[in-house]
Amino acid sequence: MSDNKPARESINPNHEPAYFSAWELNAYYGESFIVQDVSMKIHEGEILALLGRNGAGKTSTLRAIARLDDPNLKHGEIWLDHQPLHKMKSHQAAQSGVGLVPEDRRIIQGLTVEENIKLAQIAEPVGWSLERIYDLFPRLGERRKQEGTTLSGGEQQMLAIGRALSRDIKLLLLDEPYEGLAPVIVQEIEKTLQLIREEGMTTIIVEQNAVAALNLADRAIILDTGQVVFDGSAKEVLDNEELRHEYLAI
Amino acid sequence: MDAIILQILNGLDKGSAYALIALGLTLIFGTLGVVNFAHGALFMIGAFCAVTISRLLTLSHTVLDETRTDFLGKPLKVDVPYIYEIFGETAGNTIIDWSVPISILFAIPIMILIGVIMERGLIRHFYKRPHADQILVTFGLAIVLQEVIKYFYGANPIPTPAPEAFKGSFDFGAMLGLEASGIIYPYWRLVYFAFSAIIIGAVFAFLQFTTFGMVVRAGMADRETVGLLGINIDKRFTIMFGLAAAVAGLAGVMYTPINSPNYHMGMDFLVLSFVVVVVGGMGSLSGAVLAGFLLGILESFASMTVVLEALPGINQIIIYLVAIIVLLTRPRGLMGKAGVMEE
Amino acid sequence: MSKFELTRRGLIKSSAVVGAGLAMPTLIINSANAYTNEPKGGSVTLGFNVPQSGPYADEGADELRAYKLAVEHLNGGGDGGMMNTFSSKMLKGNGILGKKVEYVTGDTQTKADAARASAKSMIEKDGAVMITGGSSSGVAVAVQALCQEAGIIFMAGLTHSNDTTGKDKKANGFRHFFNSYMSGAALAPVLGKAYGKDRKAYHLTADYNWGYTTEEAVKSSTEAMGWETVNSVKTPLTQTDFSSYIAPVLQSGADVLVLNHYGGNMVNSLTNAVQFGLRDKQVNGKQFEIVVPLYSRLMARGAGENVKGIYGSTNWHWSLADEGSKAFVKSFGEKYGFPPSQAAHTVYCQTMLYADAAERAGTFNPCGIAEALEGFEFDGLGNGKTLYRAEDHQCFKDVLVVKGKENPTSEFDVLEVVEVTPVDQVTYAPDHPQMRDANGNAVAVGTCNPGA
Repeated sequence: MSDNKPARESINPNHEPAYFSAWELNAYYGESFIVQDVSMKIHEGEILALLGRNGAGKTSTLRAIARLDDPNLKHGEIWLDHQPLHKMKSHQAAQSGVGLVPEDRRIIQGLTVEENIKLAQIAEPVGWSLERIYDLFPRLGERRKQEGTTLSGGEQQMLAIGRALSRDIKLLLLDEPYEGLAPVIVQEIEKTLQLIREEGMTTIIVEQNAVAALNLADRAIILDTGQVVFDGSAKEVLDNEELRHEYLAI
Repeated sequence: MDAIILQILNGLDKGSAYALIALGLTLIFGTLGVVNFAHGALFMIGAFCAVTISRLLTLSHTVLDETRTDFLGKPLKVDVPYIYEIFGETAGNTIIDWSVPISILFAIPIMILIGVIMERGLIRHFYKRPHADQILVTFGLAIVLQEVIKYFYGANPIPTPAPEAFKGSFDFGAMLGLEASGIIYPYWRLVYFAFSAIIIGAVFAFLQFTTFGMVVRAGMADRETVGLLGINIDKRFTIMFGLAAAVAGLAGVMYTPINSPNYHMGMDFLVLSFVVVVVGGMGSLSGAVLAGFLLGILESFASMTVVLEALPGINQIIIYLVAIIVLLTRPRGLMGKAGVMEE
Repeated sequence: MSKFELTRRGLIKSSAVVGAGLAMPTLIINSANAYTNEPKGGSVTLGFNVPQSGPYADEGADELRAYKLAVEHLNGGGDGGMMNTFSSKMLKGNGILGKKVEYVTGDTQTKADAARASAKSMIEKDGAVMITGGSSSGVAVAVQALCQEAGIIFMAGLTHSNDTTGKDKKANGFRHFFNSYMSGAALAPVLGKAYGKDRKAYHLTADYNWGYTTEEAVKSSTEAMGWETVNSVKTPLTQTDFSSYIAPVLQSGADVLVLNHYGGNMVNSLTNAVQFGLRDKQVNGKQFEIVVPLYSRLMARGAGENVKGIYGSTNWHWSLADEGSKAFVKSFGEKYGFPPSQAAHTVYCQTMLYADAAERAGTFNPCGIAEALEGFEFDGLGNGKTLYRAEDHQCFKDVLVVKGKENPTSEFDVLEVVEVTPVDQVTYAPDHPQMRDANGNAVAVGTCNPGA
């Protein structure tokens, strides 16, 4: 957990409390220093694309924000809507509004589609209703009694996103939502994310397919070996070929 | 043929005890990730709950009977149970007679409490520790519990009979149309088998059909993701420990008429129950239950005279042999998930 | 996987085997003495080596009670107990040879290794001049051998296997308690009368030396009478659930089940046998019967009403009407509130016999004691006329055949004596086949070892 330092409003040069802010996050996998002094600020309703090569620390950053046990956040502060996330455990962070859609979807074995969603609605605060989720993802509605892990990759991704939305979240963390999906499915998910964006959901999206993420996002942060090397608008990255070459290999 | 049916029946009631204990072990391992070597001690404590309740019910005061003499020629001291004075002699006797089933009611809350105390007090500090540490600590706890029981109850087995109604045996032979009194099986052992089937069914139903059960199943499958959905699984897992303790305790309560409880019965069952869990697959509930019954029946068959003549002493080691074979050929056990290998 | 071994009481069995014949531990012997632990001061120390933990802890406790009573009487306290009825009048209540009797206790845990260790400690550290006690033949044989090496007298406690004064007899060791052969010889005629001569017996036998000799004794005496032994199956000492052994009995065509089991084994096997309805069965047109060759009244409590109508044998019973028994029951009963067991009785007798032998020999030297005991005839200690035979250091006396009472009046009153078998019927030649070693050779008792 982070060391006891006083509130960091003073570090913010604009003296403007951001909806979501992370200050000097240092996280470790065992002895491995994975997230090195990462800071960011996101305003309500913004979508941030978190980019970088494989192993740059993108997933680890999301996991640290979601307050999972690993990586271990040894230093830094995380604030979401005035709540100090850095002091919380993962379930408390989730109750405070963090919704992580993990990289491997993590649909729970032994539970049906419907049970997976219902599971998400046990803890407060509850978000979208079951019916609203089935409206958004009709295919899930068709398969509601089927065991979650028997769904196709795309359907599982829909389920994972639906699960996150069924909670009343303030920050949506998407870790590689398009991974391993056929282009046709990717388009479907893209449409869904557009919809969520229109609803005004504050989002951080990590994605290997950088262009797709940048098309969706307002801002972008690029990580290289655990450190922030760029923090600006998404358009900037799309326009700067040199930048893309160096850090994203595209 | 008779012999085979008889040994299957035999195996079923021994297997019931194994299955119940293994079920509790797997619940604890699957939820908390803890290897609990004190589980056999919970089985023993359950049995001694029955002993204690039985003693409480027969609590008496001594009355001098002038009409009879004791071994020294003095007037005989007769014990009159207090319960006679509350309920009258006939009702009192019936209550005393049914002390084992009555113990079930008291044992459930007591065992849950003991389980929760054990978990909160000791086990929870060992969640993240390596399994070897967990084994040492829980094994040490088991020995302490065993010695405590021995201190208070003595070293001798304490007979705790079944109710009169169940004392006889059932003549299966006559029922199946085979030779009469060829297959005799004690009623109470059949009751025990039915009882454990009910408990196992109840546990599975609880897990499958209740919301709490669903959360536990989810937690057993993917603890991290359950946290991501805002659920504090620790509290629920503590309750599961209590439940697993209750299952083991009840298995012990009902076992008392079959074998008089003594202080080391926990250890006797613990080792074999762990073998059962390994064979069934660590983390698989149905595997544990299945393996429990299978190994019980196997042990029973290995005790048949024909088998013993060919392979003397096989009945003591058969379960371990099977465990070794399973570990060598299919380390995840009969129904375990690949990758959940015990160290 | 050593944790499995920790929990396996199979150690008891393997220890018995190990202890029975392996190398002796080295003992520190003070060569300034004429014999080991020669008492120099005003007191003499006896070593009471009993099971204080483990399955026979209750019997060990009763033995300890009797020992303490004996010491009290020897030192002149209490009502003198059987000192007053003993045929030899050498004991005056002023200790032994004028020395006050003191004692130390050890815990055998019913394991040969632990028993030897505690005996060794009592000899080396506490200066015990005699070791006595125990409730298992495996332990007795082991401790007896150790005492022989150490130059110490061993007065056996409760040990019933033929081997203790049979193939494992030692010159420094003495046994008052009866043995398997005597049980077999006493039981056979009574069983023949009660159950007839045309019976088929099935034996379940504890898998160690006591089980084997008891089975052999009962087998040969009943077969001589006309019974057939259908089968005999060894059961592990650590077994608690005998149901898988009982089941084959039902199929075997036998109409008598002989349980060569003691203590906890007996409680469980008998309970299982009754649960399976064996007592109510009819086989070959006869009522099925169960026999328990060696009863322990203390342990029989655990079997509850299952012992009703079951025949067995014991070394002594508190209901006997002779003066010695009555005196002992009164003495023990008034001090402790319940009647003494046969374990208590035999160890009390052994203590008295040792003290008396010392008085008659005028010394504590093992060779002097041995000479005084060999061929000693006595009475008044509760078994009638008894001979301590010189050739094997075994007491020969009448044997009690008992039966589980139909209507016990209390938890101590579960057995009744149905026959007192005269000693001639249970006497055997010192080189009887059941007393020989594995090669069939007779074993001599050897020479006494004073130790120094």
